[in-house]
Amino acid sequence: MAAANKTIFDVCVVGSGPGGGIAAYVLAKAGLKVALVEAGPRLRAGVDYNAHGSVYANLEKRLQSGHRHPVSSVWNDYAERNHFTPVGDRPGHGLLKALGGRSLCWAGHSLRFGPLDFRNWPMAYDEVAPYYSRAERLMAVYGNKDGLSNLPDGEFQKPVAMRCGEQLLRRGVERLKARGMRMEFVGQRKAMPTESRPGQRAVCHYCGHCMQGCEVDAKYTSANTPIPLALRTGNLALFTESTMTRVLMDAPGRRISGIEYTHARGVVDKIACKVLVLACNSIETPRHLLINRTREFPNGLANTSGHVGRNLTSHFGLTVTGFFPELRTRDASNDDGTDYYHGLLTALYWDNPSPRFAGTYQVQCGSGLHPRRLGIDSVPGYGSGFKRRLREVNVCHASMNMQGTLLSSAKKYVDLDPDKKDHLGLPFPRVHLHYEANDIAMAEDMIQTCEQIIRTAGGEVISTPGAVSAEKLQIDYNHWVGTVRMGRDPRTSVLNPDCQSHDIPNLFVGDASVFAANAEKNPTLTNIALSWRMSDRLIGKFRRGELS
Amino acid sequence: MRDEALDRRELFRVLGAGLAARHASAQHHEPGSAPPLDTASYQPRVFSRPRYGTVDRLCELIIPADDMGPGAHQAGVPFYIDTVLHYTPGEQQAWLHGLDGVEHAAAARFGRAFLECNAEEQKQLLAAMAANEANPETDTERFFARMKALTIEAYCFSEAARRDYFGYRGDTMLAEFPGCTHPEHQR
Repeated sequence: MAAANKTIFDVCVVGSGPGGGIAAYVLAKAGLKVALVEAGPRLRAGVDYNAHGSVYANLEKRLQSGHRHPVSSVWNDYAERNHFTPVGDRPGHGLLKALGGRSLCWAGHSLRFGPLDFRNWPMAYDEVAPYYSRAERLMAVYGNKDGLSNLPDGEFQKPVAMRCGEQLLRRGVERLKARGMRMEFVGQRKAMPTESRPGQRAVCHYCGHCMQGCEVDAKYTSANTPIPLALRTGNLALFTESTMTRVLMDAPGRRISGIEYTHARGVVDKIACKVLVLACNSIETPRHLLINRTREFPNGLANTSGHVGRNLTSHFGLTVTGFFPELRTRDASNDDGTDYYHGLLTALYWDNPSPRFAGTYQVQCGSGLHPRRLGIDSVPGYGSGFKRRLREVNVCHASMNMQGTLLSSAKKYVDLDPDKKDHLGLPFPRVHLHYEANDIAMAEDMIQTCEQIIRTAGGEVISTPGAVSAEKLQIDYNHWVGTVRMGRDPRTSVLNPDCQSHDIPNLFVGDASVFAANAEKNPTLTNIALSWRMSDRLIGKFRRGELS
Repeated sequence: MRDEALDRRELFRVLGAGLAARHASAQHHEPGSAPPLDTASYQPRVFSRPRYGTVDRLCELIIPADDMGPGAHQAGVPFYIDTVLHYTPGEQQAWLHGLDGVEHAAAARFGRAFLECNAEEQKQLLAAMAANEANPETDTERFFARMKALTIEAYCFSEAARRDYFGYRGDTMLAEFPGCTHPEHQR
């Protein structure tokens, strides 16, 4: 490692999550010398996380070793806590310091943004489509070709069946469509192989531990696919447990010359590079840009526009649960599947916008008996009647989890906490979230729609938020996007359409902060496609000598 | 695309052996295959013996053994609760205080310790604790919510409940996920 530090890398990628992992792979494969810097350690699938086995037999050992939760889970065991300052309506900030980042604990949902979603982007869907295809092939995404206009089909392996509960919700949707309502119910699309192919990761064995961490590395992560491939090229140097503390500039102060980092053991060192790719996530990337104020960039690096940290958006949610008496007699011996959500309500308000709110939502739908999941909602009472109902609710429920597009506005942004600092002396990021009338109106519509679907399908609504208020909305703290957005106009965007800084030519961004606008779909597949595209553009410019 | 197909072969060389080994080990980690845990001989660390007995009894009243399957006692719920609390010191006081409240109620109403009350009397004491479940206000009402939540968690995580009550056979290797096989659900 010391020898590596003497070299000047072509590219230094900071962050090894979905975006950074793919960038390291694409760049190293093209022959560039790449340093990949990750704040966390390497976690071994099946060893450092493994939710298989007896909870009781493992309980003492787990709790004794300091884990707070009875079942192994990457998120519960390793995610950061108390690492940012929330302002307003209970914002969260997902951060997992480990090789692969949050790709270790993602659900694998892989949905393409559609042509309508790119309306306010500096590029059209057709330009991203080839990168979606590449990403899906590398990741091994399963799904059904549904032929929907704004949720384009991809390069799918064979789909995974829906459970009874999701089929009943689909029945409700089909009946409502027959009455003229516009929506679709489809199977989920996820990044895990369902077909055996030579040289591919293990085929999924449907144990449902996807988000706890896939013990057999069937689910795609940066740590199990692009990073090993990048290492194989001989062009990648890995710096794990290394936290970037400063971005280093050249003498005139207009270009980046490297980074300074602190190793977990306390050693401070530097990595020299010709190009820097930040892929730290939508909160951490703007945080680092804002921390690095210089004479040339007094508002933070690459922040001439003042837009670093702005345009913050994510998804917010609510859950409505239905009960279907006709499922009482079904076989519920193994509903595990590929984690909870096997169904997706989509195609709402795509080309028929609501008169009451801007944007739209999708609804992730799941069902099934999972003792690990402890039922779905509190069942009142105690005794034999309670016990019967506990099982019945697990067997007969179907849940609808809204994913609404949070309205981007001046009230939602990231900046630096003037008071609180982390253990390395770097200011905490502050995340500002204030729900607005648009968000509330969308949530009301969602509840109404979901309740209608459940009842139309023959079920009863057993859990619903009822009247909506900001207190009831749950932010998705893993879906933040937009804080270092791309655009054509340097006055209103931080990056150009190649995800390259308008201000600093050798600075690129590879995480989801680059999104020009959000959609209701999960962001990771688009993040990976865009990072792949960014890397291709970077390679072209590098070879043409535009970056040195 | 040709290059990614090539990459997949490379990936297999890099990871293949490890993956195969892990796959094999996962197969042997199904619930029930772990060495059986003797929860009956467990020595409580947070609760005194009588208090542990009270916890055991209260949990069994919440989830009783019946013709549908095992109850909290048989599932080993008290073991789980004492073990979790042992490693969660911040929670212990609420439990000890809550159990004191149960004893006070037993003494006030029936003039006896909770464990010396008969089954009907114990049920009445629990009924009083659970009477206001939706809006708990008193200490004992809040203790009921706390106790019930951990009892459900413990019960659902136990092998006995999973296997013999819920009929759960998951956490296993499946070649295919069958999903819904009922034509009537798909119409």
